[in-house]
Amino acid sequence: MAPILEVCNATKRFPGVLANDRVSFSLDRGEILAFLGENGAGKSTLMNILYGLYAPDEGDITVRGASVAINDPNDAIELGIGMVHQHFQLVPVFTVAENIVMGTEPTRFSFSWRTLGIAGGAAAFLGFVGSVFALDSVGQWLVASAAGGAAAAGIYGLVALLGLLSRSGFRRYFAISAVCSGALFVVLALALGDAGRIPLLVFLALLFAAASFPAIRVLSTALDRGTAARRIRALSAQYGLAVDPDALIESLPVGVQQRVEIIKTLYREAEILILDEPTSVLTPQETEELFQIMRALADQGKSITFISHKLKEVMSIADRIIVLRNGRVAGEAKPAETSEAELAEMMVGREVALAVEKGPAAPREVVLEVTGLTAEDRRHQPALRRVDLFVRAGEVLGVAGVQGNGQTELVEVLTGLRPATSGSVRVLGRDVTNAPPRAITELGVAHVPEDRQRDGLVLPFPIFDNLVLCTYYEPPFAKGPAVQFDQLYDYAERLVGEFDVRTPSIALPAQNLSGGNQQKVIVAREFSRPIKLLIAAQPTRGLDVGSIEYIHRRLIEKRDEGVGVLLVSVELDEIMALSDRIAVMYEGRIVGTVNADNVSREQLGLLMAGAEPQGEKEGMPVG
Amino acid sequence: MADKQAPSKSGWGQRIVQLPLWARLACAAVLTSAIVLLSKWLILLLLVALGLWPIVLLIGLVVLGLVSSRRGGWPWMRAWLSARLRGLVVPTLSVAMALLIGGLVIMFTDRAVYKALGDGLVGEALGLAFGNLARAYAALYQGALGDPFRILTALGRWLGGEGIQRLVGAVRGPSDSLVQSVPYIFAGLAVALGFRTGLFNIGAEGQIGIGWLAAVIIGFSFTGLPAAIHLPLSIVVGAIAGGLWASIAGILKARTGAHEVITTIMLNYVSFRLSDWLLCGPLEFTQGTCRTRDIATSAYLPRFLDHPVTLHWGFVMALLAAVVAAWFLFRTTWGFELRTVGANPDAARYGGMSVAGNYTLAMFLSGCLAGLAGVSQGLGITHNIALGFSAGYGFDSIALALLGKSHPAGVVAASILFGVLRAGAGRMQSVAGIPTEIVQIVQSLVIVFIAAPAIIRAIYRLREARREEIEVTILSRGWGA
Repeated sequence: MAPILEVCNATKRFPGVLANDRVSFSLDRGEILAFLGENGAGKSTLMNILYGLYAPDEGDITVRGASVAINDPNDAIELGIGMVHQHFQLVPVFTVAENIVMGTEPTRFSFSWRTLGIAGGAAAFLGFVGSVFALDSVGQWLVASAAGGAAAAGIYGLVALLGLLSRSGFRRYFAISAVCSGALFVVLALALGDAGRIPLLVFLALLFAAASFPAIRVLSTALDRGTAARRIRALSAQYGLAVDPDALIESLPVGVQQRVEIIKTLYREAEILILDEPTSVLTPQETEELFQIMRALADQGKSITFISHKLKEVMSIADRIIVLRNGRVAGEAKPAETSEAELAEMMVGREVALAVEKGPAAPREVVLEVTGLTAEDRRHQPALRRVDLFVRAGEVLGVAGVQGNGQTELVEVLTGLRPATSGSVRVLGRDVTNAPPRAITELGVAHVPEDRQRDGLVLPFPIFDNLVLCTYYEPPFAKGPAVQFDQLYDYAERLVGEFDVRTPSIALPAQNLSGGNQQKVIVAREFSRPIKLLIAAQPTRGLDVGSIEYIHRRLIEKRDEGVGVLLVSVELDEIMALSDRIAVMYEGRIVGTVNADNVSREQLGLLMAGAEPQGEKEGMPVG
Repeated sequence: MADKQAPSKSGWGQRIVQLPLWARLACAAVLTSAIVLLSKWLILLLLVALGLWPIVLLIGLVVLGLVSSRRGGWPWMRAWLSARLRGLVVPTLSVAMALLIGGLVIMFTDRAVYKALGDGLVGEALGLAFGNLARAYAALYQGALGDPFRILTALGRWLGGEGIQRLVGAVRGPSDSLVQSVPYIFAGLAVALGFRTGLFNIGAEGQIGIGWLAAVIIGFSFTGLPAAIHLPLSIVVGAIAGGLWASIAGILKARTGAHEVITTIMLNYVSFRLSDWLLCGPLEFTQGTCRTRDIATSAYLPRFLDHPVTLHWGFVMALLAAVVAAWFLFRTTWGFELRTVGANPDAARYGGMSVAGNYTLAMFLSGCLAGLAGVSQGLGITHNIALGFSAGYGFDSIALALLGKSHPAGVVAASILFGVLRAGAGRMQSVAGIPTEIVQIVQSLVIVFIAAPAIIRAIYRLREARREEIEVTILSRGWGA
């Protein structure tokens, strides 16, 4: 069977970067094809080329055996290509149905009684308004508008039948309708014996031609709404995508919003679905549901390409895997015939240590001591219920738990970003309960925040500003109130080199960096201060294998330098690989603290699910 | 976001910085007094240059051409120009489009044109329409930038030994434009500073009124003070009054989270009614005038030249304010804090900055700048304050800050543009009989095109500029959803 989509030697250059270098691949009907690669390997660029958001500099794209040029998303949609972006393109205050219909206004004017009626009505209305200017009595206005409406409807119908308006271009629409309505008005004026007004009428005809374009689009969309909900329900049933068409987007969880995006592409009759990092925003459960949906879609003949940098996911769902590295195809594999280690090596270009090498810890004095800590979450519900824990210099305490069991709040309270309602936090023996963030920072506490784009970076600011977000006011970066740019630039250059942040310049806004490099900026900033305690929350979330390896190595380095590390992560593998002791949180409590050396995934899993620890607590004192 | 190349120090700068403090102060003093002594001539030069801008532009191009022929020819010149002018492309085209559409409105809002069209006299109608357009825009231009031929003649006669009066009279247009731009610059800076901090200060109009009122009260309350004390005192009190007024909104936001858009709008009304009561009540000069006494001459902002050129030292103050605002925003840790709070309050908190404190500070500074707009009007132009003083400078300044991308340099440029339009509007009405509202249409269209650059890019087929979207996201945060 011929592939539904074929890409041959696609090349895309950006200033200073070769994003895609002669990438070729094919996609079969009913296949799930995964693109695996590090951040910045060119996966998203390739997908954006397919969806018409970027034009390739070189290369051919063949869809269903025919060579095509995809200039914009409309072209892609016409070819049956749909894309679900990493960041959803939904309007939160609209309903599911409205969001799905939005943007599906008729992009081609095929003959239909509806179009005809709308065109006639619009022309009649505009003709009426025009004749008010041009003619003198009410009777004449009415005759003019009725005749204009009927004639315009006829002309539009003819035009549509002849297929002259098969494309949506405004210019062509404008030309045709201006000629039509202009001719109409002139004939009308001659018939009514008022030839003197022809210039004015022609001018008005041009105006109307321009004005009726949006009018027709809007009107026909409004008429579409009724049938939309029915079609959405049918699609949901067919592919097992449970969604209520009348629900407001903002009331839906992220996983369901993603389903809406998928239905949106199906609604536009997509045969080829592009999913850009679909799992990066999902919980494990939602990921599982998404995979079921993808399977169902593929079984019914849809072809899916999706982007990921998570080895496990790719192995579990894809039929075929293409690995991209530095914009080139680095290899292709079937999940059954490869291993995670092999894929990781293809991705990074060298052997990757999936496990972290670390020696035994040499814990010293206690640097962080938390007793009886309670706090509330954003909705003023109790989030922490009498948490006790401690971290010693030179050890890693991992805090494991399912997302949303108080870890976020714990980190925020420890770093002064959220008030504690009772209990105490002591850093290096000093009470810092409810102290301002700066007082805590200045004691030598580093914080790698959970949400790097919200808390950790000022995205529009250049890298050098982001590197001194916590120390900008201190010498050598400031002398009085004046920023010392020379020192600042030198410092930034040094850190960017030392921490291997891939960027053309330290003046690049942080938002133009890939996720991994953004995290490196944060790590560079936090690790380069003299610190005693490091609080790292989800330090590798959303990062590729290479970056994860790098950050893990740095964390262990810090531990070996004698820094106390509090590592909060929902990735159990990460916790087990890095921690010396593991505290498990469940519903705002520490349900158990265990030694990392002699605990199994199953035991931790039970604790995370809220089971009482069985017998031994590994002799770890509490508090 | 200071760009990286900026702080390259020239040899001179380096040498001055290395001098001891007293020497640097002395240098500054000598330079300042020289500028003050020469101010009359410098300003005259500026006004003439504005009036003769095509010639100045030509000279500039010739100089650039000479320099480039030495540095690397046309490619160098092209790179130099595109680096400096890239940001100006969309605004310039926006202004051109706005003038074009405004022109169409002028052409086709005349009854006579339609009558001729209706009678089938197309040629006559077009003639009338274009006649309207030419008269209107000619008057607009002369009102705003003067008659270049008159300026040239006057310049020639002055160089030939005639008195200066004719030349001063000829540059009235440019002077009027700059006079109009003074409150625009101050108020535009005020709103821009707010934008940078993520605050949408809609209350500039009210803060202008409060600053104006305070400065005028100080101005007429003291008599016999030397100008060296009286003038700065009035200025400072006016600025602080505006700042304190705005701080009400700032403190409300910091303490209670009350949105500054709401509070500043409401404070506008409070300040309008407060001044209504004061001006027709306790502060009224004579019964029925609804205005205050005139301020003492010791509180006048001095003018540079004789009548009819009314340009006063407020203009220099405004330029200085822009320089100081730029330095503050982009070169100090205070400005860094404000901008961080504006771009991402969560990250600011994470970085140990006080979000509430910075909101209050930004609102105070913003109010001070807006207050200075009122001060410059009160001490420089009207010398009193009367009922209905609100001339819309505060509301226009929101547009100015948008137009200038919240950058002090951009605000100054945009303010001068608006000053030019406003100064020209008066003459357009008196000479060509075109209502001043046409200028408001043009101003609004400029804003529309600047706010939606996609329109301009589509019309002129410009390529996408990525950087600009960054700025817009900062600005739009002001609506704090």
